Amino acid sequence: MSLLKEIAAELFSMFMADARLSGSILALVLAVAVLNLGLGVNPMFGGALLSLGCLGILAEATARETGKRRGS
Amino acid sequence: MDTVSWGVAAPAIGAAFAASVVEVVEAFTIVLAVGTLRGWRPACAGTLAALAVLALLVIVLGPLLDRIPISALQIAVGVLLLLFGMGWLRKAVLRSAGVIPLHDEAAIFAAESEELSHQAASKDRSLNWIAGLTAFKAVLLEGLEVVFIVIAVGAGRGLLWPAALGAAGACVAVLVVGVLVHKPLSRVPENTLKFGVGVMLSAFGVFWTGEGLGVEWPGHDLMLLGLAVVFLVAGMGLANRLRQSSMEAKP
Repeated sequence: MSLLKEIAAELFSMFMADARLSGSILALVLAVAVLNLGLGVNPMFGGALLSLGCLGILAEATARETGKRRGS
Repeated sequence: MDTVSWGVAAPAIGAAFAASVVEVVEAFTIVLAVGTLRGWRPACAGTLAALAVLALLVIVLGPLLDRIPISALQIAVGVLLLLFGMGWLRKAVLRSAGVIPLHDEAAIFAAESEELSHQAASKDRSLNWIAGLTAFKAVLLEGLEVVFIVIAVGAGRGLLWPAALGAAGACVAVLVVGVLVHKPLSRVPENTLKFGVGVMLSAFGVFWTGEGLGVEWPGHDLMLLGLAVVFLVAGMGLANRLRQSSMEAKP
């Protein structure tokens, strides 16, 4: 039973190690899906938003962690 | 295989190889600790049992992938790759900037050995069972990540075999070097590999997710390499900036 718990925890941490990073990525993908599939915006705009959004999320996540570690 | 296909196949093989090297080295460290302390019988038994479970998972789940529509598969795999790859890239950037410590295989080997010795003192009779279970858990948990990476980078464009080849190559390489060296592979440039894998998985993630959502990338498959370059440059720039700001913050 504890092995199953460890496997579940490992799988969870594979994708959700930083909850805010994961949440931001999911929100970004959802926004691009709404733009591309729902509103029919030029798909290239969605592609550019997805690429740049990921870079922004990465920059925010690393800066936030650095600030947190410096503060502690 | 034409040149356009190679544009995706080569990154798929490379990403699967590099990611698998990282995971197999981590599993190897624990199996080595078990084998050194309690003999190779429980270590090999645990390893083989874990490999059998992983093979079963692939055999059962693999054919299901063919039944999922390609755009849904691309979105699902793309999002999972983004979550996984961006997580690795974030950690690699922070390690490269010196914000969090580097992964230390020698320290993990020592900690695992101490844990097994401690268990030996308290439960001697069942120790071979515990040792085998330790090896089983290590190989299963790290192997799950390898299986995910192979499926994720390979499933979006029918590249499962090239990705599997990359992972198999990594297993053989680590095993051969490990048998020759016979100690934890602490000199593997793990963070450099993780940086590279984070870059590739993030690029695959953006590419598959975009394709699944109807984006027709300029340059088609070659855009994957362009995205990888963008993530690499951004990651290195971020690590550099965080390193510099850390140095400026020090009195």
